[in-house]
Amino acid sequence: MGRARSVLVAVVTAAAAGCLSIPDDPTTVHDLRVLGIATDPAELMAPVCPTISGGGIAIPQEDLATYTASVTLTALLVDPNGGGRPISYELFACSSLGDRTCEKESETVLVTSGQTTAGVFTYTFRPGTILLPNGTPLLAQVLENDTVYHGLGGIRVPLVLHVGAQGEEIFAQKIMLYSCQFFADQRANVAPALPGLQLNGEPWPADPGVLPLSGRGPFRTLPDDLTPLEETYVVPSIPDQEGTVSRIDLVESWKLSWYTDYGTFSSSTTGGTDAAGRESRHNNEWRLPATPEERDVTYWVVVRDGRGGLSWSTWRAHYTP
Amino acid sequence: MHRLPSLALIALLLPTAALSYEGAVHREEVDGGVHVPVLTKPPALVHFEAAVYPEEAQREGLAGDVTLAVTIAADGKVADAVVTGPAGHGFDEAAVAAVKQFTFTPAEVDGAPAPIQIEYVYHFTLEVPDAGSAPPPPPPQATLKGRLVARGSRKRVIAGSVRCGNAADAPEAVSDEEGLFALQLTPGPCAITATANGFEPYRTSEALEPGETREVVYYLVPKAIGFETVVRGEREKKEVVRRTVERQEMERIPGTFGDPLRVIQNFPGVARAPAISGALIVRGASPDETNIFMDGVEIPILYHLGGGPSVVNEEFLDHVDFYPGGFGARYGRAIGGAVDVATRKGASDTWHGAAKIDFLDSSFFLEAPVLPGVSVAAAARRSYVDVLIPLVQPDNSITAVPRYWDYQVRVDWGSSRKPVAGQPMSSFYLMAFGSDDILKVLATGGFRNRDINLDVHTLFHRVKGDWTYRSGGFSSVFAPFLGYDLGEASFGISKLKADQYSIGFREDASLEVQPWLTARAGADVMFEHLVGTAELPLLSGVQYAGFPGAEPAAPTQSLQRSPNTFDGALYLEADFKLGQLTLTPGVRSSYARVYGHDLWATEPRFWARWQPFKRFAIKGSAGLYSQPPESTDMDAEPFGTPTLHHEWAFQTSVGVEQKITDVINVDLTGFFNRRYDRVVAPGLTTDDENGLSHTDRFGNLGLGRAYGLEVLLKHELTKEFFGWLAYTLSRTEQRRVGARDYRLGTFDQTHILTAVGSYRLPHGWEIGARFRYVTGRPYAHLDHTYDVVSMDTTGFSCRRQPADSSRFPDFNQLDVRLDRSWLFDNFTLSVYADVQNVYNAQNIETYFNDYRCREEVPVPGIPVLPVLGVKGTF
Repeated sequence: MGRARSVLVAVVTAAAAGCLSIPDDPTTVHDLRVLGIATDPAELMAPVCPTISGGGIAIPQEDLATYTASVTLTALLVDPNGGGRPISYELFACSSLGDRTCEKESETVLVTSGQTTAGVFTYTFRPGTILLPNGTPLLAQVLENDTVYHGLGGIRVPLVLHVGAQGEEIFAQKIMLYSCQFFADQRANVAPALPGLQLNGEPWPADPGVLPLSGRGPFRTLPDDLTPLEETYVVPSIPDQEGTVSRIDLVESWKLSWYTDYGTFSSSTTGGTDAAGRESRHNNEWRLPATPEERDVTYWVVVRDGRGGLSWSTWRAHYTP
Repeated sequence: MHRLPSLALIALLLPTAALSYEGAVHREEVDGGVHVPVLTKPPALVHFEAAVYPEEAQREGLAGDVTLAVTIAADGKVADAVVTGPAGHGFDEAAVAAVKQFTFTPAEVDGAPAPIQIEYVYHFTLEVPDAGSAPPPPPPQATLKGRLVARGSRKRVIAGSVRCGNAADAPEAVSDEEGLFALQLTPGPCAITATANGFEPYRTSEALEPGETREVVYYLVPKAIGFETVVRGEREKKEVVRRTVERQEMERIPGTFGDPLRVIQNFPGVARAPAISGALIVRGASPDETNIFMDGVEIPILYHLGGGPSVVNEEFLDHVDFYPGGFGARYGRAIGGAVDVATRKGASDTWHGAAKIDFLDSSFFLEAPVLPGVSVAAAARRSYVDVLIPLVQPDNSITAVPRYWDYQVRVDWGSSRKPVAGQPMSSFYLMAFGSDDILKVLATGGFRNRDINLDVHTLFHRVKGDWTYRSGGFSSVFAPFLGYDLGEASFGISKLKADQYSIGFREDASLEVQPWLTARAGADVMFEHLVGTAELPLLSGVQYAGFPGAEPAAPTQSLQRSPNTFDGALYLEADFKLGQLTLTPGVRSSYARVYGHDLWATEPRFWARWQPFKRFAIKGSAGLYSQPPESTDMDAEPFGTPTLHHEWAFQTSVGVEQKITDVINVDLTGFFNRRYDRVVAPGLTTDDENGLSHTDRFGNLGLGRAYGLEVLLKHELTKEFFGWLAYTLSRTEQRRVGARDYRLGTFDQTHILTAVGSYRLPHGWEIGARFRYVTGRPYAHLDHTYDVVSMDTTGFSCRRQPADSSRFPDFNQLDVRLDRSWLFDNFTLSVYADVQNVYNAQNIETYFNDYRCREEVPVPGIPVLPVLGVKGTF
């Protein structure tokens, strides 16, 4: 009965939030932002999966080569009003998912640092070979810190990109996933890629194409059908009281995040399947400011598959009122 | 000219603020095994002494009325007469001298003679006698019969006087318990005067023919519309704090949306709940740590939809007892406070009822005697905001449709029988009551990416019996009950449902062993069978290690649980009256079996009361209180933690009571409560036999403490006014086992000041106001220096200042209520306006922040909010 009342309170709170004018729309990019970080590959899966009695995995010592493979980290840094200013960066790897800024020095390693500018930042390294200051392998420490799942969800290594420019500072965390083939038909994740986008029902060519737009709209966007691209995958369950781990078959439900450097989108995120089992559609609408002006407009759509895979696409338009 | 004095007798009864009977004069009242005295027979004048008319007044041709408070001893003689409404000119002294020589038949309380105090008006009037000796009046040859009825409520007016003319020896009749009178008088014109205490005199003229018998009904207008109190004696107070509110007070509190039970939120010790929430936060305890009872039976909710009107019709209420802590051993399963809502039985004189309409709902109430000694009362309410909302809702928007209804039915028998000294007495009642809430939220179609289809439904039903038995110094109340509760929610493909069937009984017995020793004992037993079903997708984080930010399409599962809960308690208390000191040790011992696990609890409690003076008392209490865990929290892993045990609280308090006048009293209470073994999440982290660490879902790891001072200055309900000033100074803290420091509780509010008052004006008007000032609860503001974002979830982490670093701004609000009543012969019509936040204070209820946790936006509370209502009673 108490939980039903909690639902009522949540509904009323959500309704109240909808009535308030919250400043700074998340879909409008007007300062330094990290819109996405992708790792390639999205997941490193070892073919062998040593398990621990009681429910958990151990690092497959027989196949460390999989875990020590190279990973390319790519970040989308956007700074539309920065005028090309230099952006400092530091890339950390640490051992606890809850440590969003890699504060715990004893379990943090600075991977690289330097300066860059807005755009796509890329760095290739081997996270699986990182040793903490005390000599403990990073992956081993991450697995030891996973007191809840003991690696059944994979060894989730937090990578934190710290960027800054003229007082603006961002810590952006991206999980690099190291897993093993618990079930024979498990496959490593393939990063998602948006097949295409439509504007008012017509195909919208991606960057470097520039689409001329004019008038008051509406400017309705919709991605091409994503259903054929959403992978099915299998994960192990949490052990039951007898210690048995069973298989759980899931289907990806991609989520899209929408951004622009002029105007707003009606929804900041579309997609995903909620607790009610309903998959969200991806209808969206680009809205102009109250007094629009002629200018170039950039749009970004970041797609996430919910398994660590991430990518983005860019579109451009030239708007005339 | 010779002027003779005359008088009219207005006999009225009762100590302090009592004004009239409700229906039958007798009503069994047993509170927790403690009998409450009831007036069973009013005094009647048997010897009238004529006063000597003051010479000065006679010389000047003056008349006058003298009002006196007359104390009648148990033998019917006048023990004291004090002038309360003087007339001067010597009338006062003459009236006192005469009244002190009156003789009455003694008043009876519980069937035995007892002292009583009445209000008596002695009228001095002058009349010119005929010259010469007046001939004796002719023998009465006509009969005027009838009934005296209160205008507007149709209640029978008891002990009212009906006279023909103003002569000293004018024929007079007094109305009986049914309001009936029969007056023998001389045929011809007759100036009729009907008078009764608390009513305006009624004057008319009748002209009867010889031998005629005429039947009439005289509607007397109450001096004060609306207020009437019930005869009841002072209940002995064992608890340090028991706040009792009568129905008449509850109905008039401003700012309560016309809902009487919200009055509890105006007492000291109760923190202000956010917005219009009905949550009871008592001495820092969370709302689920305070139990709510209706006639001793636990009910799951007090307000519809969590913050709407209460689940009981106001006409059904008799009174509400609120215990902020330190409650007696008959109550258990709570480590906070207790609220016991007492209903009343139906009228035994005639049909009465009420109907009420406001912008939220409509309700009706009916009561009547159906057979000799059997009365029935019934009430129901239904909201209609669910019908109105769709009419004004724009298309394509989210529709939230709340709907609620409730009902109560009660049948009493045996309670109107007059007690006979030495004979055992039994009374019975059967009551059924329930409540039903539905909230639907619907939003489909259009450009919407996700359809919203949310359905939440909660209800409860109870059937309760009550057998009250009294014999000499022994009394017993046996109350069995049956119950059914339902909670269900559906959203999309997910469905949750819980059916709970309950059965139980309560027995409360009291025995006066010696004048200095009263023992109470009882049992409180219940059994609950819960059937919980759920259809929902596999739970990420609980059943599998979902990736952060993932919302995959997961298989649907069906879950079912059927935990049984048995909880039986026995209790024992004894009052030792040692002169001015009363000591009450008590103990409550319980056994519970939850999800197959046995839980035992023994709770010793102690109260002491020292009353060195009639109007002053010092009191204290200390004791242990326990609360079993929710059965669903004891589910097998990963959903619950089977090894949970009772939560505990050690509660202490000390206070003083001072009766300043008969109607004004002040109560100061200091309290200290320590709560431990509270159920919190997550639970303990331990290593299993394989060396893997494991964290329980829940654990008895919570600690809390609350301490402070409560002050209540109260003016009891009288004819024109009632009100109180409540102030609480308190601190609530909590921590987890292993944590170093306590931090402030979520609803810690250092200062809570509430002033409430209601005043009756002439011509049916009544005005009331409530002012509240509450210091803010703790809040940690954003402390943004950089963005922290997760690329996998897209969520930003908010960094905040230390937990206890700041508070919400102070809250202040004035609510005003205005009532106007019109009295008609057979019904009363009332209209009220209850305006909350009269001066539109901009109180902040919470903050929302932007997506990057850089800025906070305050969310204001309710603006000026008027509620209008119309009510008819008959």
